[in-house]
Amino acid sequence: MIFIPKMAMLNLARYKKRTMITAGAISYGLLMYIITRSLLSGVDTESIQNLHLYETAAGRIMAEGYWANRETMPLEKCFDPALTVPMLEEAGAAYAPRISFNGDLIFFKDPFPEDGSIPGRFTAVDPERDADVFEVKNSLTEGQWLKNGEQGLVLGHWLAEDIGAKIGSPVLVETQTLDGYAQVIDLEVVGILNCPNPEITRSGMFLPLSVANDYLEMGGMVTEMNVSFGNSSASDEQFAALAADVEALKLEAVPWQVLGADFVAISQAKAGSSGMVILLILIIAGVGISNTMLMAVYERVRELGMMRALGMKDRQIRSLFLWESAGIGLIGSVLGTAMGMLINWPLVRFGLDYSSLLRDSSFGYRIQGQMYGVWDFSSIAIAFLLGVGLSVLVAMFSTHRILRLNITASLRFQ
Amino acid sequence: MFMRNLILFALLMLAAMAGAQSAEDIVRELDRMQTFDRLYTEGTMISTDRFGEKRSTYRAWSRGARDFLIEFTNVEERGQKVLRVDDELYLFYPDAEDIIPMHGSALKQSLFGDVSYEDITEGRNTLDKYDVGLMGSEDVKGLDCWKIEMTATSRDVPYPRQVLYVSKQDNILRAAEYYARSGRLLKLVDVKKVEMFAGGRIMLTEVEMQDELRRGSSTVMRIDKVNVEPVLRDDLFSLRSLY
Repeated sequence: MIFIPKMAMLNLARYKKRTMITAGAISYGLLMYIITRSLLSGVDTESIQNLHLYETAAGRIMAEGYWANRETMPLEKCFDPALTVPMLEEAGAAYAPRISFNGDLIFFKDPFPEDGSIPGRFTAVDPERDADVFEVKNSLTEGQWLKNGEQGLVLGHWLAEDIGAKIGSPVLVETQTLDGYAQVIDLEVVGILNCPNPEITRSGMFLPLSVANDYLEMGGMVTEMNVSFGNSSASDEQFAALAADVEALKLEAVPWQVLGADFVAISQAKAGSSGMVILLILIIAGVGISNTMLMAVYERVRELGMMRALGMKDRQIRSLFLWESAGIGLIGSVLGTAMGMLINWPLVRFGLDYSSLLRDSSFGYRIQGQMYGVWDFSSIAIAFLLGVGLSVLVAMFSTHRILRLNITASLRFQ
Repeated sequence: MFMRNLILFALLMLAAMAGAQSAEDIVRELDRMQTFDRLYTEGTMISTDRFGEKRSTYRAWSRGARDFLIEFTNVEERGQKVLRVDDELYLFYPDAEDIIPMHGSALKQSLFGDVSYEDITEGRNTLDKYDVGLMGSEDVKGLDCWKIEMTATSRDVPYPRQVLYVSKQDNILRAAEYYARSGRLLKLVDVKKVEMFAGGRIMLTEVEMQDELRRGSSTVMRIDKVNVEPVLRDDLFSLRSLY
């Protein structure tokens, strides 16, 4: 019984070059599979984390109809944040009221390099409470965080760089009050932040809630209450559990998956496309493996004919080739997963620097600069099994074709 | 002697009272003079900012103080239309073949140069929307003008405060200032040319609007052709007519 596996191993040793070429094809395919899976999963994981920490929290409570009209950021769709506080405190949630509004940021030459204005979305935050939910405050790289009542503005690093803003630069914000009247707010850049979420670094503009409340004449109303349950793994369920209470207040609870729909859409599209990428990798590896296996089998047709003439059964020959291919698959899988893990280590530890590519567009992903891999051990295990399984499958097919020849034809095979 | 002086003083006071106009009267007359039952115009808008100059041509129809339709005729924007009807504003883009209703902050966007959509949403009926008060007199380009402050009482207007300069001689608007809620001056309007029509009505045929928040940014609106009381299609001021 041990004869066949032993002979297969001897054959592998005898045809070292062929064995290594075939195993190399397998290991390359598996290496690519492991790296691709690692990076794509890493981007997903980090994007979700950065969405939560800088943009969406676990979800947001808004006035009914606000989300449907979010493009225009209708200030009239506002609500009293105090209404939601008892419910949120009872649920053990951290919360941060905000006012989001559209406006133009206007700046002038000296101290800015040029006169100019840019339209954008402004976010008025409670300087103290916001840090309970978001990490924006902790991303300051220059200046200081906002203070209640102070007419300060904190800008994203890329935005500040683009317009030439420095700490202390005066700016104007042209917008509208709750009643729709034209309004201009005089602000001074007090801080510049650089956070891992590119949306914030690219276009974030934050001012104190109290200032927005006064100038927009909101009368204490806000446009959103952001809700967080910290790092709780049941965060999504906890937020969903608030829905009934929120509806009772004639408000709507919008979870992060809806708020970050652009990311979720790209993530889902990516799941489909990464499946295609992986399929292509497998096809390429499969073609390589089948080609080398076919060559290996065809160059031994006469040898097989002789073995059959000496009385070796087809079943034994088939078994010999399956053992050989499993051996090649095993070598390829060991090499592939080992190299994959070796290359993945620096990707997990240091990441890849994509900052120049991601500055103008992050394609919906919420990563900035570094793209990190993750240790996805289930993918590594799948890769290992695929390597062995694919080789055996291809060998079965090739051997079947050879065994259809009769012995004399095999012996005469050129 | 004393009695004669007293009678003379009384007569002068009566004459002054008879001749005096309130701010409401001035603004009401201003509205009347600038409102046509039906009107067709063709014009040019020239916007200048730090990037250079841009020109657009248009044709426009209006009915009374509320209904208004403008269609751009220059190559770049040909076929784009803006309709104001029933106090609502709609945009039509021929490429998209879609009508977009404009609300809220979207009205702040520039229609052309320094002229925003909200600038054209204001119809006449000024006294329904503003409290007006006479601030005194001021000389504007050599003309003695009433200085009238208008404070918004309605949410349907973009500017909470305006100051108008109306010539005492002919009751024609000569200049205006638009202010933000915070009191900051936003826009300056300079009336450069006026055309007179029968019935004491007038049309401001060249107006320059200067954005005081954006240095060097201004827009000139010039009317090149006017047809007063044209025959208008019944459905001209309807969404259907935009297609």
